[in-house]
Amino acid sequence: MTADYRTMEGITRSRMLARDVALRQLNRLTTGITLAALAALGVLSAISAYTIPGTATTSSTAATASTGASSLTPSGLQSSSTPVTSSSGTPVAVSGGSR
Amino acid sequence: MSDLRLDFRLLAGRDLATGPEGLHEHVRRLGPLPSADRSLIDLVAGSGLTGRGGADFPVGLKWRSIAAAPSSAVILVNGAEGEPRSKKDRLLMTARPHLILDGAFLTARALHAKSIVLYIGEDHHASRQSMKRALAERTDEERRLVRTFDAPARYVAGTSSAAVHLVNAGVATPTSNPPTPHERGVDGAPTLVQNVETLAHVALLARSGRATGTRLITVVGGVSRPGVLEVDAGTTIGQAVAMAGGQTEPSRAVLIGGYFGSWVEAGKAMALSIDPQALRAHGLSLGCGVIGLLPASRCAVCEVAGIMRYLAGESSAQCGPCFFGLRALADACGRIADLGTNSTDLFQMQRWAAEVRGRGGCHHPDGAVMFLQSALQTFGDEWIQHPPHVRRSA
Amino acid sequence: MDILLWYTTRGAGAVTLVLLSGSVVLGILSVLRVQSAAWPRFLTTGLHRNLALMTIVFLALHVVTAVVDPFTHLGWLTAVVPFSSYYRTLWLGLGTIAFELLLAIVATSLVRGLIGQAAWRWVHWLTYAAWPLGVVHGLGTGTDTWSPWFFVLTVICVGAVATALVYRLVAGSPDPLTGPRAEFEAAVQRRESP
Repeated sequence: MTADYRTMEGITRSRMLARDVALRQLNRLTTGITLAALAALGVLSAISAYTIPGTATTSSTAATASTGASSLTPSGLQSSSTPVTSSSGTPVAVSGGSR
Repeated sequence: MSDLRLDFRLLAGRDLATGPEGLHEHVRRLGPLPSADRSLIDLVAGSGLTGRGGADFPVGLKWRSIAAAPSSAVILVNGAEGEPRSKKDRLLMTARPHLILDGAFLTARALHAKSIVLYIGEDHHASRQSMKRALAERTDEERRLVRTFDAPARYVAGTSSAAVHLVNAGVATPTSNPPTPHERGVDGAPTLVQNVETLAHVALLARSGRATGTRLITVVGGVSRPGVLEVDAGTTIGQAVAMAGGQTEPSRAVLIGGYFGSWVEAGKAMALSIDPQALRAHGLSLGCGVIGLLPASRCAVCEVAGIMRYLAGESSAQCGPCFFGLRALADACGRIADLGTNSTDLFQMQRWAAEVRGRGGCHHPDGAVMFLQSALQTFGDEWIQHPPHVRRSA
Repeated sequence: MDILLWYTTRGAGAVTLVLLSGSVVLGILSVLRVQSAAWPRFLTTGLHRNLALMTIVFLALHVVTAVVDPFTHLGWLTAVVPFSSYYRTLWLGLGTIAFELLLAIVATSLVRGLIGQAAWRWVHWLTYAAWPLGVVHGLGTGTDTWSPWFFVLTVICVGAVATALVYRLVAGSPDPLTGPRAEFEAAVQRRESP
């Protein structure tokens, strides 16, 4: 690349810093979610134990079969979609000489 | 037929203003269509003829690779002339259509092509009519080979891959994926794409045995008689300007090669030879032969901004770097032109230009970027000091 | 001890559902290219990827604990062959399918460079099959379907994905080039002259 980075150092550096910040953010979020997931595992397992404690004989009772998939599908799907247009139609400014 | 009697120049013959040269007159002036076989390929290769579409590629080499292809070829006659300020192709089509058709049929015979596609700019009504009438004068056998298509009036629609894509798929968008047109083009056949001027040269070459050595250029801008000139090899830009009636006022710089070309300081430009090879040694390109003189009284920055806006608008929107990159560059130019210089736009233009280059799917962004980079280099001071809306005083 | 396996299966199943739903939502947001000054696009895709991997981990835990648990009488076969269990054949089978789909989706993502973009995309679309299958499996198989906590969790997850999906459909094509490209193609259509 032929760009003169000496004069654009400021712009480049700030972009690199921003990227580093975001990467660290990603790692932090991932770690956080992992810990939260493990905690949730513990909590939900405990809750499930509390809700329906196991006995020696049955592994599960209770829940009647689901009422059918149709009540679970996402609802409210709209079929129309507004196209996202960004105008590229800049006027054709054909420049030329004094003709 | 002696060389001395026949004037082997493209624009020889009747006055250009008096309409197209009909078949009868064409044959009377130059003789009948010579027979053609594979030996024409050697003749073309030996003549050193190079393409007139802008790439200056050796025609013989192109022909040899098509001849070596396993299946029957298609000849695509490119009369799209997408470069807005170029007029040479239109002139040839309206004034000397039979030169072009001769060239096409000779090529088809030499390469055993199965068909010919005529690709003519949709806005070039006079050209289309002239070529149509000329075709009507030819033999049935010749006419059967030819299909005509309108080239949409967009900058990139004149490129080889876009032409092929229009015939095959109905839209003139440039394609970047392999195979190339000369490997698999129109209807899957190896396709030879040649500019109309190149084929006109073939028509003369087949009769005379050697290249004319001339080429067509379009001189525009600050000259008294802008238009198309046929110049001999070795003609300088200064001489061509004189042929075009001289400058109307002193020039600041010359744009060599149209919108994908480069800017050169006027003084230096005038001494340059209108020869692609010589220009390449200077890092310049003749392109399709448009030479534009920028008068000193016009603002270079504003001119460049206008051209960049045009080029950005001509992106086929197939890839981000071109569509967004050129738009950002054009906007930055525009801001400097309209509102005056600011360092942010100046720096960002340089950075974006470097980033966009080579990243596009086709050559369009590269051409635009190189145009801009040459403008930044040639008009350095003007860019740094451009005040809003002020023209340089004469 | 075995009872702990059972609790873990259910807990892990619930966590898997949450992680999977989050993954799907982030995937949709990735396609929509949402971003801000503080949140660049690669954060969305990076999080999507990490969540998907975590989903697989917890899903594996869910499957393993379920199979190993002596009281479920599920053999290893039921983890891979759909509808081969005696216990809630249909609902558990759907889970098996969902599990295998997710394995395929994650595996192809890891070797995307080898298989190419087209193949990867094709398989990735199966997410829209895997996720609902997982939800249905959870409600159909689960001990906890009507337990408030699990039901609420499911509703939240389904709501989140549904919202993202609606947003995706309403927002139109996220590719900002779609409009300009169509405009250009319309301008360069073929017209044949005789």
